[in-house]
Amino acid sequence: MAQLFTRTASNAFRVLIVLTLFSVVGAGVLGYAWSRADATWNVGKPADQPVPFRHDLHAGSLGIDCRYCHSTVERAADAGMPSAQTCMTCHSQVWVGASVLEPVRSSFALGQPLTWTSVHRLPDFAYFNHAAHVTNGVACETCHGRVDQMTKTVKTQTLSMGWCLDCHRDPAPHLRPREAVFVMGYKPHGQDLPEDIQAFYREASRRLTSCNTCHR
Amino acid sequence: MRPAFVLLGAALLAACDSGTEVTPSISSTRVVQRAYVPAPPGVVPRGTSAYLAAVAPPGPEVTPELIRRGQERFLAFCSPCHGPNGQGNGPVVSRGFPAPPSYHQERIQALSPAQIVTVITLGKGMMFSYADRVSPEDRWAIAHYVKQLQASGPASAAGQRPVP
Repeated sequence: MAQLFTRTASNAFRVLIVLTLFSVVGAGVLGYAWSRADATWNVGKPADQPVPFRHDLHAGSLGIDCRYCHSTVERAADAGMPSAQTCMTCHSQVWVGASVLEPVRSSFALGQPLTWTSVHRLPDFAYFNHAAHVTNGVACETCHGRVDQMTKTVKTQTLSMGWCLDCHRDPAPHLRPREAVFVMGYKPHGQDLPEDIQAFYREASRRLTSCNTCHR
Repeated sequence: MRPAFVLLGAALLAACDSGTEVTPSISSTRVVQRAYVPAPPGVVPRGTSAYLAAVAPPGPEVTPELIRRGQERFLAFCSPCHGPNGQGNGPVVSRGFPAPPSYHQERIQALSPAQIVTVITLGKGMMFSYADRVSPEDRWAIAHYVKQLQASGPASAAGQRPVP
């Protein structure tokens, strides 16, 4: 019986096998890189908003406290979005005729809530509680970055599960004293925490990394 | 044979999703935004009696802890307009908001803490109500802090943000 494959054909098969192996490994590497890339997690991508609200102006140059608008952040899971009444507290007098504020004025007049687009939306299977973090020394800036310098609000962290766990495994270096939680640009992170708090969190990291702490 | 096929087909189709359930493409983390429906007349919200008891004078006992909390709340909610020392020179005023009266005027100094709580609750003049943002306990804390601010005078350093 004659040979089915010529010598060149079997060489071509050898090349093909090697190339297939390379492409499988390459696909794995690419997939890993893609899943870790900031762009995949929408880091730095602004969302379309009904009003071009500027945090850099309100929280930055005016220095208004985060809680002025996100007023339930210390007592509820949701930080709370400002009602039109909160906006109109100042904008009934300032920038009265500005067309960009028309959605706010009509929301206030009609009692219909503004539909903001969430930038930091978590999936439904992840439970997050702002109050639990803020009242225990996790600052706004730790997760949301320098919001006071943002013209358009963007994510600065991936908010991936790995990112959450980075802190939950060892929270103490990321914590701040109570007075510094709402401060932006606070420098000395963690090291100045009392030893008993550091010891508490070394012990607590077991509970903090339990599945049902966040998936409940 | 044919009825069996029809039955089997019907059973399979029954498992299909109708596909009409609309999931909003955008939703906040936990809040479902609904159109505002005004409450029918005569409705009393839950917790009303506890709320009324909390805003009623004489309010909570004045402790250093309460004053400290009042200072923190004052700097967050009041100082944008009233200024850190209550002189009516907050950063929002510099952007065109009409300046509120200074706390150190005689008329304002005569106000009792209960009257200050009422102003926070209902608003006054151009000041909107802060009832939706400041809890009753915090209103008392702010009121007592404002009284302390008035007692220490306009040039005091009491209004400085506590530096960590």
